[in-house]
Amino acid sequence: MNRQEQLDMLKKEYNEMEVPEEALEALQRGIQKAKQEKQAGLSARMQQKDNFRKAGWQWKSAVRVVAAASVLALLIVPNVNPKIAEAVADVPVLNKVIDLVTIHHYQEEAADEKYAASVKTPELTAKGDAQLQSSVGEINAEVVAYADRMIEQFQQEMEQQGGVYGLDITYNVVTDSEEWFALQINTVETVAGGAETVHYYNLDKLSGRYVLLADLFREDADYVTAISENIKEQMTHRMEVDENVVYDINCELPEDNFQQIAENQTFYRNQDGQLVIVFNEYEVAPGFMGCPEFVIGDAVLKPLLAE
Amino acid sequence: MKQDNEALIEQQLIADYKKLYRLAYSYVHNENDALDLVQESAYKAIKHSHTLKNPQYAGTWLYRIVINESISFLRKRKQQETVLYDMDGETEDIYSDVDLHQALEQLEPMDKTVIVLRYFEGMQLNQIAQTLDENLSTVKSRLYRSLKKLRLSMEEEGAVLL
Repeated sequence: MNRQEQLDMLKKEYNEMEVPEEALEALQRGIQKAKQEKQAGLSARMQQKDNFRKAGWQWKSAVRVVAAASVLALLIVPNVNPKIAEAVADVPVLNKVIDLVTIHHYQEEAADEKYAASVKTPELTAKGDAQLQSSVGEINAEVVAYADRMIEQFQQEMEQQGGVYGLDITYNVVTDSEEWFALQINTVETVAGGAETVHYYNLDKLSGRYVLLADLFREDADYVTAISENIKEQMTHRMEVDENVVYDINCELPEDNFQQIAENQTFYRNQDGQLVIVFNEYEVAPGFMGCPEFVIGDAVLKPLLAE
Repeated sequence: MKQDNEALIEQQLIADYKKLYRLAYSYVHNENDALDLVQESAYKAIKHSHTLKNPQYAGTWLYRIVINESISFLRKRKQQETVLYDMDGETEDIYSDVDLHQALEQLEPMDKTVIVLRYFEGMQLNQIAQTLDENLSTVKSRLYRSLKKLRLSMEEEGAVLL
């Protein structure tokens, strides 16, 4: 019997598995118990949970007091209250154009250690240049919206009391040169397996603009193909020199191969000004490869760049 | 307004109880534990019925609860086993094909889940992604990785994965 036949057999056994009478009874016991507790309003379980929530909230408030001013600014700054925006920008900064404050956005740990979240996001502030300030506001708003979305998801998981769920968001300034600023937001979710997601925000300090990949190139330039082909070459090369390295290239199934980058693929410019293309875990390689990065050489980029 | 989906979820539970039991059983391989998991999952589903946002997904939502319950049960059992040897002599399950079955059991629980949902439950990949609350590419790579480990042909998957 070959493997495929074995699988069919397992499938058959699975679907013909006898389900005992008690299964329906067990199900109904569960339903009844939940209904009774709901009707009773405050079951022992709920009370416990409430206490836990209160404790969590107090903890959060403590953190919020420490960072109170910045949190407030973070939530209100974009387009709402120019006075607060000014006040924040007036905070003395060093010689750098862009400064950042850590916001302890959220921290929670369930008593049973099944759920833990730690969300630290930065708030960027820029001095002088109005364009740069507005770009910074845009990025701050995106970061907050993203963090809020992830926190909400975390709270839902906790509410639902599903499996273990962990959320860890951190950030890192990967580039801060005379002309460029790149912020990395790193998210690690632990859901039985675990997945890493990475976001980058790029600021061109010279123009003051928040830059997406497409902005770097001439409008008519087919940078997607050029960069994708270069990445494929790099993948092949890396796999040749190191047998422990695997990318989705030359797969058994052609459609599983890496095809091309997205129009606004994640990227940053490193401290040396090089363009680095970034993929999330599982996007172009098996999970153990983490978030692969590819530096794209000037020879590839020169003919395509704007200006 | 707090429109609760409790009644809907209860209906779905009763309609699907056999499927939910089979799914739980595929993790624990014994009747008693599977029954406990069904009871606990039904309890949680009703208890937290207000967290189901989209009633359309009640079915996959219930699957997800059972999967999460089962995986966390396995994890707890594993922790206990490291402390004292498991002496409760759980009943041997009855799959006749040891070969592939053992390979399947050796997969990481989430990887195995993808195989079970895809082949035993006949779900489409997007339904699996919905059920596990993962994105499609993660599900795809789990499936590929698992198929590779199980040394299963991927030919049939070609059309599905396009």
